[in-house]
Amino acid sequence: MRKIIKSKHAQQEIVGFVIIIVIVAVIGVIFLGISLRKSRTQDMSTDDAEIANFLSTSAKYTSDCVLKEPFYAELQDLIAGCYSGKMCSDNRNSCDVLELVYKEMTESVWPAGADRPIKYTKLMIYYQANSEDPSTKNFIIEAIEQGNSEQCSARRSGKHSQYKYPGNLVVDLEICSA
Amino acid sequence: MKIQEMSFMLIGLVLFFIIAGIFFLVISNAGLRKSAATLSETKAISTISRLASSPEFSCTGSKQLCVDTDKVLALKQRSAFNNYWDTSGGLVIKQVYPKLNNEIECDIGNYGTGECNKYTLKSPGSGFIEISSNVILCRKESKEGYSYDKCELGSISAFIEKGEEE
Repeated sequence: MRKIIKSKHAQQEIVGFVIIIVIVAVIGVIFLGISLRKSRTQDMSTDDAEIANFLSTSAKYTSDCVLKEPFYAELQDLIAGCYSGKMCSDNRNSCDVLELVYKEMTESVWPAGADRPIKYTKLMIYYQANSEDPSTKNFIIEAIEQGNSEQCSARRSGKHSQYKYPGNLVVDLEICSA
Repeated sequence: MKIQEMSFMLIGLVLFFIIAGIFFLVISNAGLRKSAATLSETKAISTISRLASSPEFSCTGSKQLCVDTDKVLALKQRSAFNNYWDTSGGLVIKQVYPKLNNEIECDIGNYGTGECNKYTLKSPGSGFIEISSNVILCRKESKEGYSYDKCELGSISAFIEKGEEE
């Protein structure tokens, strides 16, 4: 009789112990989930300093397109020119020049490919009337992509904006590595 | 017997919390490493920015992170400036875009022709850490009697001793 009571006590204690561990584990998992989600949203919203620096310096690059005689347009002028539908003095479309320069530039600074540390890059140029509302994005050229987005595991991105009433012209670069 | 059970229980709990603590430390350490990498990246950019905005390098006008290659070429030829830069291991400025197939050092003979892409102000020594960041490289050119800035995409690489970047 004594033995049965003792083993019942032991069983109860084991069950109590298991319950405590399960409760603590569940609380831990919930905290972990919250903290991981927080860090992921922080990653997406924060501009990568290196990318933002590349975009702000590349905006000052002097192209071979003349929008306003006699000077060659900077890349930031080409973005505004492309948005307004302007042509270069040699009858090239400013959007074509813009696309070509950014394509070559990203390929030489951030070369991407299956056998490289960077697997995928995507450069987007758009006009955003309201920075709070992503649905107001109006893409002025097609996204310039390199590599394969399926091999991505770590993503970082940066933006450069220039004011154009009532919103901003934005260059957005996303880079993925393995 | 009860004391024995309680001690088993306590040992179990302590072990559980130790394992949970180690798990938490590993995860937070990964985050710490990432922030350290971001911090060193920001620091590299600010070091380069400080160099680019020095009067010896900076362009006239309001362009940020802009290096006047006319000045760089002039400084490159003056040996008195060899030990002037506060980057102990070396200082190299490169043109990144438009890209050339090879690295060709710029001198008075090939400067401005589009056939050179490198300015070595101080040759990099071995055992140093390279920090680099994008800058815009501008030089004065003229077209139809007007002078304008011809700017290309470049990078400054500063070679510093380990620990200097911290």
